[in-house]
Amino acid sequence: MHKDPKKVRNIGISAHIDAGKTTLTERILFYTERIHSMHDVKGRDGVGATMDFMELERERGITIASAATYCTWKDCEINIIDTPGHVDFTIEVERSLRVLDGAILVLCAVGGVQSQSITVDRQMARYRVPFIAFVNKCDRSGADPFRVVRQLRTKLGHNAVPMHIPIGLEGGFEGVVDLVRMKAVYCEGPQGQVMREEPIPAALLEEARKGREAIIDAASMFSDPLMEAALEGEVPDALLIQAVRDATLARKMTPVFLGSAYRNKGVQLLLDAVRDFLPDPTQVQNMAVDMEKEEESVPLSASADAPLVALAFKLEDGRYGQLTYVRVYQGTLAKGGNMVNARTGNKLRVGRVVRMHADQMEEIEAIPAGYIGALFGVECASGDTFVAPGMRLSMTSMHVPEPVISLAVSPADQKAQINLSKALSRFTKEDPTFRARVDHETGETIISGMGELHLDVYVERMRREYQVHVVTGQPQVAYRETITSRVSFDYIHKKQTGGAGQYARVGGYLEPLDEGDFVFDNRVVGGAIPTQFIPACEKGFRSCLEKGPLARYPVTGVRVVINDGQAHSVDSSDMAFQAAARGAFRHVYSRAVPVILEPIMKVVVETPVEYQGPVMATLNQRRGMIIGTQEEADMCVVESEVPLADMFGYSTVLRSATQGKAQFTMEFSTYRQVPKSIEEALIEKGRGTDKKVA
Amino acid sequence: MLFVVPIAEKTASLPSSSLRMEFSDKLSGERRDPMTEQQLVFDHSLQLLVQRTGRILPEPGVGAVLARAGGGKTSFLVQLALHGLLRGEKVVHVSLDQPVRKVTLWYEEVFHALADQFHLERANSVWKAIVPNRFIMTFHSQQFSLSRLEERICELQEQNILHPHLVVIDAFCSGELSGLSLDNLKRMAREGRMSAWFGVRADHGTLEHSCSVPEALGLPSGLLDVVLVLETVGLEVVARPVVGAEARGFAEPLTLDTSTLLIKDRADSAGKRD
Repeated sequence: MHKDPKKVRNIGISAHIDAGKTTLTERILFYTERIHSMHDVKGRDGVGATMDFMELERERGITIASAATYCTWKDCEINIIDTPGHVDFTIEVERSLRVLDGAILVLCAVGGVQSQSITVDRQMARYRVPFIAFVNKCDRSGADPFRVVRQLRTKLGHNAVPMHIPIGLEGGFEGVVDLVRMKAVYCEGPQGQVMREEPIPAALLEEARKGREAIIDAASMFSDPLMEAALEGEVPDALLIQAVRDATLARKMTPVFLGSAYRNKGVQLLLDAVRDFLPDPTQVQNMAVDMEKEEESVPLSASADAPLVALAFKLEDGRYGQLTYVRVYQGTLAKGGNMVNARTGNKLRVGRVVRMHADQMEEIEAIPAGYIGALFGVECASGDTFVAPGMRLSMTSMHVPEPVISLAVSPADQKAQINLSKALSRFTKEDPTFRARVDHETGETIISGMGELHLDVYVERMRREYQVHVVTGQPQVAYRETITSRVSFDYIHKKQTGGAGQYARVGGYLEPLDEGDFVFDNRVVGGAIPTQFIPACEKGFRSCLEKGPLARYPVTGVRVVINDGQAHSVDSSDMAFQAAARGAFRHVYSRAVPVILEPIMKVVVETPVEYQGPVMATLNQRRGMIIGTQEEADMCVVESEVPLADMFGYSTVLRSATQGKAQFTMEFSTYRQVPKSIEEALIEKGRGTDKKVA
Repeated sequence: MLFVVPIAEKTASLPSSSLRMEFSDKLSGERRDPMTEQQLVFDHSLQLLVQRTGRILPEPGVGAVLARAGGGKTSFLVQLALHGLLRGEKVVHVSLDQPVRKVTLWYEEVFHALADQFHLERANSVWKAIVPNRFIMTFHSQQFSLSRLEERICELQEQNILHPHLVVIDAFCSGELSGLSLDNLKRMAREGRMSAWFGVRADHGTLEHSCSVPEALGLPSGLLDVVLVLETVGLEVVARPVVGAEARGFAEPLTLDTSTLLIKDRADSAGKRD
C-alpha cells in the first residue's frame, strides 16, 4: 500500500447497461499488470471478466454485485469498484458511490446519455462525487462522441469538455488526439499495449487547436493563473492540467475522454486522466456526525494517525464467514486493534484484514485512512460506522430505495426450508433492497426487491448456492393504502367480563400526510390520558398500519393526532389503550376515504424511429402515461410512466413489437392512486384472502 | 381573491364542451377526495387569464411568438400551453434540441410559479390532473420537419394516445422559417381543428422591422393569424401584437413580469397603472 495518500485514487466505474464498464475494468487491470490476460464479459472464451466472478454474472453477461480491486498505474495506486448497470441492482451503485472519491462515467458513443446514465449522474450528485467521462465504443457503427458531449451538456447539464478528438471513427477508429499535450496517440500491438505518439495529422490540426482552446476557455473560468497565461499566449501543460483538475474536483467541469475498451484503445490515457483529474483522499472533505452533540457535523481528517472512523458499506457471506467491506476515512484499522460499532456500542476486536481483488483476497496488516479493504469475523450491518473507543461519531447513511415488487416463494421440502432460511438471512443482510418476511396469515414466505431481474437472480442464487429449489408464485406489486380525508375519532374501549376490567378512551383525528409513512402527534393536555399510556396509543395505531382495512395492504401517509381521552384509575392499562387505538383506527378508517396506491415506474424505451408508434402503443396499452419522445438520428427515446402491475412480461412484448431492436429500462418513480375499477378488484381480492384465512 | 368554481359551472363557461367534459371527468373520476370531486378552488383572476390567452388565437389558427434569444419565448409558450391544459385542452409541446427532462422542468417551474402567484389551492392535484394531457416531443433541429411532426401527431391519434387541441413549437431560428413550408402547419391546424403556436428566435434586424414581420421572415401574409413580439418596455416585457391585434385577447395589453416572466393578470396590470 502506498504511504502517500496523495498517490491514491478510490474510483468507481458506473454507466448504463452494456456501456462497457466491466470490459473497461478488465483492460485497466491488464494494462496495470494486475492480470496477465484479458477475457470477454460474455465469457465466450469460457473464462469471463475478472470482476464478474459470480457464475451467474458470467452466464448472463451482466454485473450483479459490485466488486472491488486495486492496481498501480505509474506512481499512483488506484482502488476500483466496478458496479452493475442494471437499475434493479442500483443499491450496489449507491453504496459504492457513498465511499468513493471519484468516478468514471462510461458512455456509449452510439447510445450516448441513456436512462441509467441519468440515474447514475443523480447518484453521483447526491454524494458530490467528482467524475470524468469516458465515451466508449468509438469503433462502433454510428459512433458520434461529439453528440455524446452535447448530451452531457443538455441532458445532464454538465460543463462537458472533450479532452480528446478521435482519429477516425467507427471501423476507422485508430486513436485519439490528446488535446492537452497536442499529440496523436495510437494504441497498437495485439492487445493495445504499445503506445505510439505522433504529431497530430494535418487534417486534424485545426480541429485540435480549437479543441485545446475550448479546454483553456472552460478551465480558465476556474483558474486565474491559467487565465493570465492564456492572455499571454503561453499555456504550460501542467498549469492546464491543474486548472482542469481543480474544476473537476469542484464538479464545475467534466473532462471527456474517448476510446474503445473492447478494441484496446484509449484506456491508458484514461488511466492518466484518473491520476491527473480525480481526487486523492485528502482532497475530499468527508463529514461525520457527532452523536453526542445533536448530530453536529464533524469534518474528518484523512490522517492515518487520527482516531479511527470507518464505514461498513457492503457485507458478503463467504466461505470464511462474513466479509465486511470498509472504507477508512480517518485513522488506521489495524489487525488486532479495538474498535466500537457506533450504532450498537459493541466493542469489537479486528481479526483478519484483507484487500480485495475481485473474489481473491490479500491478507494485510492494516487499512490506513483513504483506503478500502475488508474485515473478517465482524458482526455488523451494512452502513454501520466503526470508531475508535471513546468516540461517538457516525457516518451519514446512504439512500436505500424501497422494494417495489414481491414474490411468494415456498421450498420444495423440509430440508430446503432450513437452507431457504439461511439463504434469506444472508441475502437480506447483504442487500438492503432485498427483503424477506413471512405472511402470518397465509404462512407464505414473501421476498421483495427492486424488479423482476433482482428477484430472479436471488431465486437462482438460492438454487445454486444453497441447493434450495423453490416454487415461486406470481410477482406481486407492493400496493399501499392511504387516506385522503381528515376524520375525527372518539372511541371507548370497555370490557368487563369478569376479572380485571379494561377501560380506555382516545379522541383525536386522522389526516393525510403528504410526506412520510406515519406521524403520531400527541396533543393531549391536562392529563386526559396519563403520560405512561401515550406510547401504548402510538403502538396501537402503528399496529393497524401493517395491513389496511380496505384491501389488506400496508397503510402509509397517515398522521394521527390524539387530543383527548380518558383513563380509569383501576381498569386502564397499556393493553386497554392499545386496543382503544386499534378500535379507533378501524372504526373511522372507512370514513377517511381510503384509497389504494400503486408503484409507478419510469420506463424509458430506446427504439429505432420506425418502431416509435408500436412502442408507444405497447406502453399505452399498459395504462402508461407517455411523457415524451426524443428523436435523435435514427433512434427515438420514449419516456413514460407505467404502473408496475402492467409491466410484467414487457420485455417479451417489446421484443416482438420491434423485432428485438428496442430496449428498455425501468425504475421506480412514485406511488399513485389506482383507477377505481382496479381498486375494486384489489379490494375484492383482499376480501378473498380474508375468507381463505378464516 | 379566491373564487370557488364548481367544475360543472367552470366547464359550462368554456367553449367546446365535449373536451372540457373530459377534463372535468378526469378530475372528478380519478379522485375520491370530496374537495376536488365537486369543485376546484381556482383563483378568479387565473381563470380569467387562461380564458383570455385562449381567445388570442382562433381555433383552428396559427400564431408566432418572436423574441431575441433569452427574451422569454419558452416561458411564454409554456404558459400558453399550461393555460390550455388548465382549460382542459390536450397539448403537444415540440421542443427542438432540448431533452424531454428539460422541457418537463420548464413546465414544473412555470406551473409552480403560476400556482404561487395565484395562490392555487391543491396545486399538486391540479398538476397531476393536467400532466396526462401533455405530450412532449423533442427533435434535433436539423432533422425536424413539419411532415415528420404531422406523422408523429397522426401516430398519437391513431394509437388513441392523445388528440391534441394545441401544438406549441419551441423554437425556430428566423432564418429557418422559409424552408419549413409553414403552410403545412396551417393545413394541419385546420384539418386537426387545433391551434398552433411556434416561437421564433429573431435577430435584431427582424425585430426592428416588426411592423412587417411576416415579410421580414420570408412568410406570405395571411399565413399567421397572430404574431406577437416580446419586447422590453420600461420595467415590463410586453407581448405586442404585430399581426392579429384585433384578437379578443388583446383588449388590454398582455404584459409579463420581468423577474418571473409570468404573464400578468389584468388586476395586477391595472394596479400597476394606478
